[in-house]
Order: sequence, then C-alpha cells, then structure tokens
Amino acid sequence: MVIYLLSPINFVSAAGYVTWRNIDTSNSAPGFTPTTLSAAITSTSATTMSVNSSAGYPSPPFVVDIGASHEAVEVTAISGTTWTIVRGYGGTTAATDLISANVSGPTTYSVSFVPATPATSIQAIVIDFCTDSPIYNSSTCFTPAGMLTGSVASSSGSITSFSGVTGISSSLFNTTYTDANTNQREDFIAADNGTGFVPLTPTTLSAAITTTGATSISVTSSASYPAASTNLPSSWFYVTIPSTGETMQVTNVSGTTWTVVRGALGTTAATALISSALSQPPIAFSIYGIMNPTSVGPYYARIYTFSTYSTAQSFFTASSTSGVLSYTYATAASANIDAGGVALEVTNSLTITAKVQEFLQFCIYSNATATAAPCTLTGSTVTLGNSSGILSISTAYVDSSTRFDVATNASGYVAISFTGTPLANGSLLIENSSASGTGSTAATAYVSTVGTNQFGVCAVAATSGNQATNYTSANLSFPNNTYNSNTGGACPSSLATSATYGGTAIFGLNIAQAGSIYGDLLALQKPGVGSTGLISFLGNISPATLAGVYSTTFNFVASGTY
Amino acid sequence: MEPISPYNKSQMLLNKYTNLKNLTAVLLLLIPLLLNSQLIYADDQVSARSMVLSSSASGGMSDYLAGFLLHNTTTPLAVIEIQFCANSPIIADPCDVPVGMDTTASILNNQIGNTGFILDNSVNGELVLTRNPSNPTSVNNYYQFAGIINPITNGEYFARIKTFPTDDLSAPDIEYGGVAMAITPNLTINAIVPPYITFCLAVTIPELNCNDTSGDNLDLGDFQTYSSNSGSYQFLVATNSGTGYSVSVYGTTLTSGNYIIPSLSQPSPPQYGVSQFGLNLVANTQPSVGADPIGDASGQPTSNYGITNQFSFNSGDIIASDSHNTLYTKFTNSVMVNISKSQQPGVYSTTLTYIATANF
Repeated sequence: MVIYLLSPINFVSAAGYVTWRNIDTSNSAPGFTPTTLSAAITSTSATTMSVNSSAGYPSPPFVVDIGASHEAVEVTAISGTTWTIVRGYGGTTAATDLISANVSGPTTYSVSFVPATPATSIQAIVIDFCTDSPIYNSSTCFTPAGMLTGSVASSSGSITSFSGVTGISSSLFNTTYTDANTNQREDFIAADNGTGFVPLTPTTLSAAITTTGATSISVTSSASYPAASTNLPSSWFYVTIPSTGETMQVTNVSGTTWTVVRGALGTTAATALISSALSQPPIAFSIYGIMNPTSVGPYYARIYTFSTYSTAQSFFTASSTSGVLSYTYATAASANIDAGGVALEVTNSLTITAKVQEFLQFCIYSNATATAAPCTLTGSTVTLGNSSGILSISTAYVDSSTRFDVATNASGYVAISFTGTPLANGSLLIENSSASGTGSTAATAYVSTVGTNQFGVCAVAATSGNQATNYTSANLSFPNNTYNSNTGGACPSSLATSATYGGTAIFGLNIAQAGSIYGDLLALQKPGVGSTGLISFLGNISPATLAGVYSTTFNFVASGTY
Repeated sequence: MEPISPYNKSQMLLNKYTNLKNLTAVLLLLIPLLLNSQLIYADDQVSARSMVLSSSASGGMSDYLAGFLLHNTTTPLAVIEIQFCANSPIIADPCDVPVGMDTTASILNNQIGNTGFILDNSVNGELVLTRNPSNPTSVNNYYQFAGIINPITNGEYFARIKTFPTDDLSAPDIEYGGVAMAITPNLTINAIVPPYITFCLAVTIPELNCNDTSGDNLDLGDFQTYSSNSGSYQFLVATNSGTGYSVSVYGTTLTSGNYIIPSLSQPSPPQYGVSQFGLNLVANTQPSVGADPIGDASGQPTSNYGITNQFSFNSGDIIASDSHNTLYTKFTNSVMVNISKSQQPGVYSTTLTYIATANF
C-alpha cells in the first residue's frame, strides 16, 4: 500500500474547516482504461472471473467494483485474464453480472478527518476530486483526467469501514462511472437522507496532564478512535484538547493509554485537567473501486460535510458553467458545515529489476586441517600410508584430509561425480581384488582388511568444526552406497591426515563407473546453504603387492541442473 | 501399488546408472536430481538446464554434455546456441570467453530429443547447432560435445543456452537459460609399497600368517633299526619381489659328539637298518609324515626336496623357491632318520638355519 499524508490547508481547528484530513491511497500509479468482463458471472459462488485484460492492474490483492450489481470483490490472484476473487467484499452481496460488464479501477482511498463543528448532525459527506486546487470554496474544479469512481453510474456500495459517526445506512452512493471521464464532475458522496450522521461523543482525560513533556496520556475510553500503532504511521491520528488548544499526534493506542507527540500542528503543549474533553473521533471510511487519474502529478480532494441531504445533492449535481472540465458550483461552500482540502499525487511506479544468475561454487582440496572460508584452501596431493607415504601389509592406512566445498542455487541440485582409477604403478594396480574390477556388481563396498589389496573411497558430510566457515551439511547427501554405505560402519567425518586405521567404515571404488567418461556419482547438493564434504581414502596391500610408487589422479566434477 | 518415494526412485535410477556405460547411463546422472527437486523456471526459459563435464581439470580436454528442456513448441526451432562465458550467465550481459577455453575443435558426438542439428564451432566459445526450422517437442534434449579444452582458471564459469527460429542469431531468441560450471584441480593420491619378504619358522604355524607360531624344537624320539623316525616343522614365506624368493637350509646332519648319522646327499627313500638323515617338503607315506605346501601355489620345493618318500640333506641347499611375487606359502619340512645296528648310542642333535632371500 502506498500511503500519502499530504499537507492539509488548515491545521488549526476553526469553525468551517475540517481539521487534520488525510487520504491514503492503496496505489498511486497512473490510471488506465479499466477492463470489462469477458464472460458473464453466472454464479454467486464462483471464485474466479474472466476479464478482457489484466493490463494496468496491480499485483493482488486489490478490490474492484463490478458492473450493475455493484458487487465488490477482492482479487487475490491473477493468471492471465483469469482472476481469483473473494466474493461480496465490504458487505456487498455476491451477484451475477453480464458479459462486458464494467470493472472498476483497483485503488482504495482511505479517508479520515475530524469535523470542525462536531455537534452538528451530518447528512452528507462529499469528496470532490479536482486538479486545479484544494481550495474548498473555489469557483472551479477541473476534473482529473481519467479518474473514475466505481464501475457504473450511481453505484452504491463502494464505501466500507465507516467509523466515527453513527447512523450509517445503505443510502450511500458514488458518482457516475460512464460519465466520469467525460465532462462530469468526479465526486463521491456519502449521504443519509434521514436523521444524518451523529458524531460520536468525544472521550475525556482520565488523568490530568501535569507536564508539557509527558508523552502519554490516559483517557476514559478509546472506543471509535483509530487503533494507532507505532509501526503503522498511516494509523496515527490527531486529537485536540479544546480547553487548552493543544493538538497532539497519537502514535500508539494501548487500551486507554495513548502515546502522543505534544504540541502538534503548530500548537503549544499545555497541562490539562482531569475530565477535560478531547476532540471527537475522526470520521474514517474507505472508498474502493477507484481509478486514479491518468496523468502523473498532484491532484486534490475537497472534503465537504452537509447538514441536509438536499443541499449536498444540489451541490453535488451542479452542472458545468464554464466548459469542459471546468465547473462552477453555484452553491459553493456556503451551505456546507465544514470543508477542507487534501493534496494527493499520482506517481509512476518504480520498477525494480534484479538478476539472480546461476551459481555454482565447487572446489576440492587436500591437506585440509581446520575451518576456513569456503574454497580458500588449496592442496591437490594426498599421501597415503605412514609419514613417508608407505603402505603396509600389517596396517591399514586411511587419509581423511580431502574436503570439498559446494554451494549452488540450482533447483535441480548439483551432482558431484568423479573419475579415477585404482592406485597404479605402471600396469600394477592396488584395488580390492575381490570386490572391485568391472561392472557394478563388483563394486560392492568393503571394510578394511589388513594384508589384502585395497584402495577405496568413502565420503561423508563434514562435521561441525570440520566444515568451511558458515557452511553446514544439511543440503548434502550421498545416495551412492558404494561410497557412503547405509549398512556398514560410518565413514570418518573428522579431518585427519593419513594414519593407521582400525575402523569398520565401508569404502569402495566402482572401477568401471569411475573409469567411464562422466565418472561415478559421489554426492548431491541441494540449493541453499553451502556444504562441506569429507573424502577418505583407504590403502591396504597384500604381501604380494609389488614394490613401487603407486599413484592415481581423481577428477571431481560438479554439475548443476538449473 | 506402494508409492515409490523420491529416494527410492533416485536409488533405482542410480542402480541403472551404474550398470550402463553409454550416454544413456550418463543421462541418468541427471534424472535423480530432477526427481528429487522442484525445478522452477520462467515461461521463456529452458528448464532442467545442465552441463556435465567429463573433466573439470583446468586446461584439460573434456566432453561437455548439455541438457535442457524446451517449452515453446509453437515456434519453429532452427538454432541452438551455447555460449561459454567467464563473467556471467545472464543473456543480456557481455560475454567474456573463459581464458584458455577452446571449442573450435569440438565435435557433436550425440544428440537426443530434438535432433537433426549440425555443429558450427567456427567461433571460439560458441557452439551453434543448426537445422532446418521445425517445431520442437517439449522433451529433454541432450547434446554431447567432445574435444573441448577447458578454461585454465580454477573456479566458476558459465554457459548460456539460447534457441532461435532462424539462423539469424541477432534476432530475438525463443527461449534461453544459463548454467554454471566449475573448474577444479585434479587430486593426486600417492603411496609407496616397500619391498617385502615375510618369513617365519616354527614347529606349528596354524594359519597363513606369522603372528601365530609355536615351537622351535623338534624331538624325533628314540631311533630304531626296524623303522624310520620322523617329525616335521613348518615355515611360511611371502614376498612382493617380482622375481620371487629362495629358502636355503644351513647346518649339519645329526651328531652326538664325534658320532654322526650320515645325511642323504641325493633324494633317497628310507631304508631300515641304514643310518640316514634327510629332509623333504611334501607329504609322505613312508614314513607318514609331512604335507604338501599350502597357500600360494606358486611357491614350491626344489627338486631334491619335493619327491614324496624321498629325502635328502646338503647344507646350503635351496629347498624352496618361487620365481615371482607371492602371497603366503606354508611349507611343512619333514625330517626322516634311520639308524644301523652299529650306530653309536647317544643323544643326537643338530641346529638347522633357514634363510629366505628375496630377489629384488
């Protein structure tokens, strides 16, 4: 919601002027040609409606007034030209409408003001929208081009959330739609051609204001006053203590305790006696189904109150005397009770564009020893065996110093695969002679068996303290049981350089798959917080393993699906 | 039917994946990801975009497998452009070809999905697939390129995928999308296997390891002139010498002071009433003693010590050998003694020394 609280013409209460006035608009974007129904609404329970165009309408939610039925609906979603709606908004009745019925603009205006003459019953409130000035007794009012109120001429029901007065009835109506964008006035009238609106009784101080610096006051009742909230400036309101002349801005209402800004609107902070009367609750209501003016720039609302409906009606229906878009009001303001102006502004919407590019961070490094920022460590060699890199027929060695960091925004996850061969010395290999070889059935993971030929890999999410800074492992998984068995012992999860090993972790190397062009799957990373994985290598040799220097090269590839 | 969980689907596909060697198997690498995730895309974007590398090594030669799903089936498809950029996957951004990358020698090895394309690789960093325009189907497409040289800089780089209705690549694209890849250094694992020869000798070695042995003294009992006395002990040997090992025995025949029981210089059968001393490493029936070697079958007794029921002994003889590296072989060394009626009484003994030598 875009909120505008623009400078009122008169801040100080005086007979004839409505005091602190404001109009909040839900949308300040320029108006556009409203749409029409592309299909009749034949059901009072349907939750979608079809329109000929959604162009110009803002992102839901917003409220529109439909056709001759004047049913208001809240639009909660738009898909092409199909709108998802909540029927019977604002107390209106769900109804059917014909194909091509008008659909109103999407903007809701929230009006609030305090009459300067509180004791007088109000039979009509007129809000006159003009582009030339907010002066209430001006002889002319230029209609804002393109501004529309409601969907169809003389529609009723385009007002809701009325507060601050009693006696609100159904005899509320707004101005024409069909003529509104031609040479007619663009006004709104809320009227009760009967007893009129009786202003509510003002509250009183339940405790004296003893200092001019006090920032809260206590009242006997907060009923009918707005529920001002510190974090919602549009809910703040002004209140005056007539006996002292001080006006305060109420920024929060908590029970009967109000937080206030003293000496507002140019008045002077003063002490006040207990039981001092406050100004009456503001009159507040919302008008929905308005189409903003089509031109960027200021425009104005003139607020009038009338003691008789007929006087308001006479003023409201005054015809033009000075040509297109310029009108002289024969009744002027002389017959009204109070009047005041509010300035509003149509502004272009601000389009914010941002690009989120495909992202993949992946690195692998050996000799990791501690936590570090992701992908800041290096190392590409693992020495498997004792401190001299020598394997043994009587002792297993495992190196757990290789880590990988991975992070992505790939919605289809990142697959980490690797290519590699067993440790080799020329044509001589160190491989698990009974469980690797060729084919998936030969790739069964295996536990360490001292004195046998074994070279295997296992991988696991690094534990806290072994991860890259700010990385977790929540998004990392290991679906390939060859390297992360779900039945055997756990793969080492803490950093450790090559050392003797007596554990029961399951290692493996699918030689056929790891030797294929795109390698073997090791891990999956979901989008989100980055992860650190830990890779361990197992080396065992048999007494017959020929002496020599053995080595292999692994290449790890991370592939995201976006 | 019991529903299949995403995990099980993934696992099923993974199992297939590990069974296959061809491109289809590679594609399955991607499918588990799709099953487990919620792909989100804009209307004008190709989705399920991926680029699988056969190698992520900097400057290395790699295959690139591009995969993506088209959505627009109403506009004819004539060109698929894949552009490699170091700076950004965003279509509207300038594209800096990754340093060191070379696509000009690439070839189109395979195409699945919407097919019929030929490759234009004339511009480095751009793979342009062209065909006669026709409406595509909304299927997963895979295009495998070989012979691409990776960028030389470790870290992230990008591919941009665009489709066009004509061969005019300056015209608006139909669909587009980006993919991020990463260059990572190879990981080298080194280990040293030292020269090994393992040898142990004892009266009893139950298993094929030297951690469980017992006894270093063999008592042959009281000699008789009408029957042979015999006994045995065992030794275990293994080596990773590519040319194998030899086991020699050193010592004397049985003696008691100046009295000796003569050894058999050639393989000979036992003879009652004749003083003789000999060894062999096989199973015998006369006398019933010894056993054939067990374990690695390549280790065997030498010829003079490998004949059943024939024994000999010459100090310094090689009694067992193997010509290449071997796992454990357990030999049972039998001792046979006969005496004549004139053999002087006494306590006869000897100490034999066995030496196993690997031929490195």
